[in-house]
Amino acid sequence: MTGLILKDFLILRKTLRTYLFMLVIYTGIAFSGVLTADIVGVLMVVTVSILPMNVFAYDKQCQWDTYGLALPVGRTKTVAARYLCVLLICLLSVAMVSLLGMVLWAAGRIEEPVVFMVSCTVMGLLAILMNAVMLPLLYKFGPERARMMFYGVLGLLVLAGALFFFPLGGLAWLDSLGEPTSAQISAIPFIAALVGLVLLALSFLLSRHFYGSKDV
Amino acid sequence: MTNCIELKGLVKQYKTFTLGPIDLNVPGGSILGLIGENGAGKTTLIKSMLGITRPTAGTVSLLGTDPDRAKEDIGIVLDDCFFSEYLRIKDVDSVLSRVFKGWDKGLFRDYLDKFGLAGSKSIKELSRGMRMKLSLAAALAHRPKLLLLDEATAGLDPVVREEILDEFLNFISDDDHAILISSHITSDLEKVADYIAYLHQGRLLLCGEKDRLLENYGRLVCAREDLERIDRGYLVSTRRSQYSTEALIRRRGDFHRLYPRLAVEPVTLDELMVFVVKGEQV
Repeated sequence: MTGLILKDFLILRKTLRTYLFMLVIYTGIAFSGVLTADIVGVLMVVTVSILPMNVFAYDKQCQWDTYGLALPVGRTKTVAARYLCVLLICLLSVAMVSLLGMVLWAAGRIEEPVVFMVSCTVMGLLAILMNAVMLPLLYKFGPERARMMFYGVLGLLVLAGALFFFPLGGLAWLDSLGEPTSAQISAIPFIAALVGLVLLALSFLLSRHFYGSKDV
Repeated sequence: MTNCIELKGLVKQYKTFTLGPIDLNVPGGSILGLIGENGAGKTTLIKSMLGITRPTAGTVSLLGTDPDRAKEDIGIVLDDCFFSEYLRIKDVDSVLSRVFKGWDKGLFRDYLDKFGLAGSKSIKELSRGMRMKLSLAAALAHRPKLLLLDEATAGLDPVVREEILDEFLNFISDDDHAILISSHITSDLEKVADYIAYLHQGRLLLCGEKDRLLENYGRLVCAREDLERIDRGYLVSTRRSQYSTEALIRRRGDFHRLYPRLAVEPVTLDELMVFVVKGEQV
């Protein structure tokens, strides 16, 4: 299984390098004060959501699945390897963005590092949520159709937000909850990690089901 | 001698195509050549054997066990290189050494040297021949007992093909080893195969020892009136044109004794296929 995880990282090598470069560039932009530091987290969510699609597309291009299923790994472990790869990318991204956040904090560009770290974790959770939705779609429909479906779902969410959510007050209801305590704030990363893992586990079961019955 | 491949009633059903039922045995120390026209079901058969596509019915036993358990001892080369162009040759080593317990890095390097492949090269830079050599090195480096090859020599020049065929002959010098090779290049199979299986429209039309098959069948070229006088039991199929009449004859030896005046030539696998597909069945 480690071989398959390594394979995914190796074929993403160039993309990951570009991603890292972009993170540094956006940190530079946040440092210059043109945009807030949150932009680095947004870049993370967008990139980490796209990376697995790229792996599926590369695999399809060389028809890896046919070869992969002839290897002594098994379908369940093949799917597990892909999920572990995604989880690793998410964790490394959160670590990287946190590190860059600390640089920005040291340079005086972030006033509240704890809030930034919490926002980082929530962004990480969002990235996992995107993948938890996307991966079963990729296993069921393949990269081209799944990508279109994913963009369709995102488009619908944005439309629903614009038509109903924001006209009805958006997140204003959060104000009624009052200021969170520091204990509540420090609990957010753990809750986010737990929710992320549960979502990913459910998504894995669905993907395993799809891939298990797939004829390549 | 134990069978390295045993297929019993293997069926794979699609909406518009059905493979099988296929019954097939490949003993250790031998090479089975799988022939058939495009779309005959050769790739489907190999995929079904490995569980890449799930068989509708029947049983598959590879190396005396079920395919999933046998995969550690199976090397596979399919009609294209399945490694991403974003990988380098040495990445294949890194990945597969973590997949196969028996992966031998030294042996993989030896094959790369033998085939003139530099580990630092990216797969994108490799020609088709080089990619096939890489696939073969990857298939052999974990010391498999069974090789499943689907059009592994297609598109290769004769020199490379000869090298690869020699590799196959070395491989089966061990009685525990066997190869199933599907190919359109029947001349390759005539050189190395011990057994031939002929798939036509998903059905196994012929299966047996290559030498016996080629000895049994013959190509008769004769006048139309001669053909009418021949015992129908000897005729498999005929091809008639304005200028000639040809027939595929079975039991060539007996036929020659019975009709010494008629010249029957040995048949090639290519001719056998053409007669079955294009000829008029008797």
